Amino acid sequence: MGPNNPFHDPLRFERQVKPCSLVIFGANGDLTKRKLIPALYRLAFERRLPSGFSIIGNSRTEMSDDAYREKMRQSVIQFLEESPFDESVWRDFAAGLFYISGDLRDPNLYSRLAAKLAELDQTRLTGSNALFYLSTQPSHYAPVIEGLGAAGLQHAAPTATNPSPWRRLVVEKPFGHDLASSRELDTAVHRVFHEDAVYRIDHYLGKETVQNILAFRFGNGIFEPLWDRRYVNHVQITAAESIGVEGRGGYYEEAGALRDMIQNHLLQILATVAMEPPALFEATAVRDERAKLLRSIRILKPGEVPTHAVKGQYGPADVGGQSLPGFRQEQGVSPNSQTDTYAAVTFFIDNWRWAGVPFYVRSGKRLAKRVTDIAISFNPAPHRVFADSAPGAGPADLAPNLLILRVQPEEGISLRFLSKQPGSGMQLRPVSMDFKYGSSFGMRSPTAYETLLVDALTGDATLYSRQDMVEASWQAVHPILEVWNNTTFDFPNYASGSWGPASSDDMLALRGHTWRVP
Amino acid sequence: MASAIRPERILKELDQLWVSLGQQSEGTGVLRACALTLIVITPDEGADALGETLAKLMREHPSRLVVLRVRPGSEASLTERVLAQCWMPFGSRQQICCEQIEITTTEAGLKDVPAVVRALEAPDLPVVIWTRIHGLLLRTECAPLLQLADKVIVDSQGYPHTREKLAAIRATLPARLVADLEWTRLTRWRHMLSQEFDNPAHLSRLHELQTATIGYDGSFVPMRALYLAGWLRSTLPPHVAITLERSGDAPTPRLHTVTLDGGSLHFHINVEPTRASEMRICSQQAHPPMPALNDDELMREELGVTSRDAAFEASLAYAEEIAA
Repeated sequence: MGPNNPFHDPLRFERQVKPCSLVIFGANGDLTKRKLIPALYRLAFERRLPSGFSIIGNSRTEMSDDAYREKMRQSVIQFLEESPFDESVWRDFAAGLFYISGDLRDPNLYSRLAAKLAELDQTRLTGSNALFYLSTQPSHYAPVIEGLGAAGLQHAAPTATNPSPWRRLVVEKPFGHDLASSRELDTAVHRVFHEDAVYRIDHYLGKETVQNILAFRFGNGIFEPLWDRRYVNHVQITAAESIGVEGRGGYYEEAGALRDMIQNHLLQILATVAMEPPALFEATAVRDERAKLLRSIRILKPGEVPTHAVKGQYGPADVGGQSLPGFRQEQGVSPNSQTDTYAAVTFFIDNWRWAGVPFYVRSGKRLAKRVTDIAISFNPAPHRVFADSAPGAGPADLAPNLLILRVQPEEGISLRFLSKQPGSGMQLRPVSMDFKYGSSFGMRSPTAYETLLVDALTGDATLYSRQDMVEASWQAVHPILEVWNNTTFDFPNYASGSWGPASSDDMLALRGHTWRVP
Repeated sequence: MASAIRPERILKELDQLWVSLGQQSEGTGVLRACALTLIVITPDEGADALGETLAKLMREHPSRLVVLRVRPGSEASLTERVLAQCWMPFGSRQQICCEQIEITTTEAGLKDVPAVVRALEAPDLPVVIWTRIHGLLLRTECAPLLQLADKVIVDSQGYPHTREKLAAIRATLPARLVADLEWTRLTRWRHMLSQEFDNPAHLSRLHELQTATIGYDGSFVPMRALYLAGWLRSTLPPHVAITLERSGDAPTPRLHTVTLDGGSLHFHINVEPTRASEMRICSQQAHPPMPALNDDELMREELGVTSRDAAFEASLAYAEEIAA
């Protein structure tokens, strides 16, 4: 441990990134252009990055540093969200932006990378700290990790001014395409990097509102006592998109909604909603609780899959005067594709808190609208005192309390409860009490990548996945994938612009529930 | 006379205002947001221009806003009106509104204000007073008003320091939180300095420092420069000599440079009147943005600070010593 910086003021200064370099593999790709570099620029704009902060981009395309800088400048201008572009900030930021072309399987690339990192230590005082970011196609993960290991880049020697330099690795999802391949990837990672240095990114966990679930649950005393099987009837988690695969047909054909959304993002959200309170808001404690919850998800038997999981694929439709193609008509998609563009699963959590409470999780493309939310439906009042005073009142009129945690687009929390309708009788009607996270307070929320990049650069893994979490998630969906792979479905089975296949409604009807319209 | 306005009537008017906003919303409803009571004490003259600042502030710190407009006059008088600050967030059909109560008083009527304001506080929420009238902390008739607050925010910009003023700020500290926007204006300077010393290569040479020089223009030492000197005194090793150096005239005194020197360490920030900036540390150079901050930006930061500001308190203590 070196001396402490006497100028720190934690009351007013946000957490600071120490001098370091960031190496991005796949530096010419979509993720880098749309998310990573705009997020890093924004961090620079907010003075969250140290002055010597350096980025080394790598891809196969030959390019000079200046050409790469110009390309990234255009990306920042195009993709920066809710933020101004400032030339002078860009100038300082771009001065730390470098580019090395090279094939990821070429050992020479890693020698040149090592030399560049050493040069930056001298010229920009990056302290030998480096974060390696895998933003390439997943098939390249293993060769890159191997290359880094062969060049000894996973470690840095202590220096006079930095006795404990760090090297870290960020891995983008997908973490494998099934349980076996995720284990293979993990083996490749651990041959080179220690688990403490590995950051598996699930950008949903970086969303401000997902983090707010933790604040809501564990910062308040009044909700947690209600947060169990005695009071919660069921939970619905929805991640709906109104768009189709938008030119990513080839990728999506291999992935599907269950792999692309439920196995990672939505199970992480489920874990956040259902986990036990951690003792501390600290990486190991929080991740232990998430992992425990994911391991408690009941693994379906093959015979249970048809009643617990629904697979769907959108067909062509006319929506708002526009003719939209079905999934099988999308570019790069087989005309006989069996890929799921919609998936819904009934999960059960086998622990004392949640025994018997269904967690319905659904995700799909070309649904009625773009929305991600979590709805916690509470049990109705045990005795209906007012049932007789509201003649003709149906179940909808006596709607149970509903707590909705909205992740996007209008982040916030709503609580639905019954209130007396004004008038002389005792007629009840549901009303909603709303808290809108962003708009109520009018502040710009950091993007998920801004949050997660700062976390990785400062060594905070709280919002990152761990291998045991990844494996538990794969285990939860594995039987479904197995059954689906061996079944031929009659697709398409839902129209674009709808809320998914009818069989999804049937799945909830088995337990007397219906999907809410978010 | 306090009897000129009755808090119950104001509260009733507020209720009616919400009903009427709800009726105008065509079924989408109005979202009422309130996180604190913010009492703004401002000279009546020029108070209208404050509207935009308050509207911006409400979006981040929704409040029950009590604007106290003070005009000269020896005859006690109070008048009031209620209104709402509303906005429609992008992409939303629902308006978000905060309530605003405006009270106009003469200086002589100030003594009658606390009883009215006490009844108008939003229940169970913190009360913050932002006084835009210089020297209010020193006036005895305002003491009961300041007693209402959990936090008092003043702004010393443009005024020479006096020991009495510093003492008044210090005297308020034990009972409540106190802030000076002149200190808030230093956050960027302090942050930049801190960030450079996050680098172990610089931090390990901190003991080499011998001098810290703070440069300002103007006919008197701006409070900001004094606070910066106080802060450096409280953070740097005791052997470092700290000096305030006047380098020229300016219509409004301003802080423009800070230089730390000694051994192989050299750190320098310079901000021009145009706000162009240059930051140098050893061989590195950068041009960080140093825009002049508006009142709403400064207040946004201050309202976000809800606990004791130990750095400010230490700086204030040293500033008082230096001023002596």
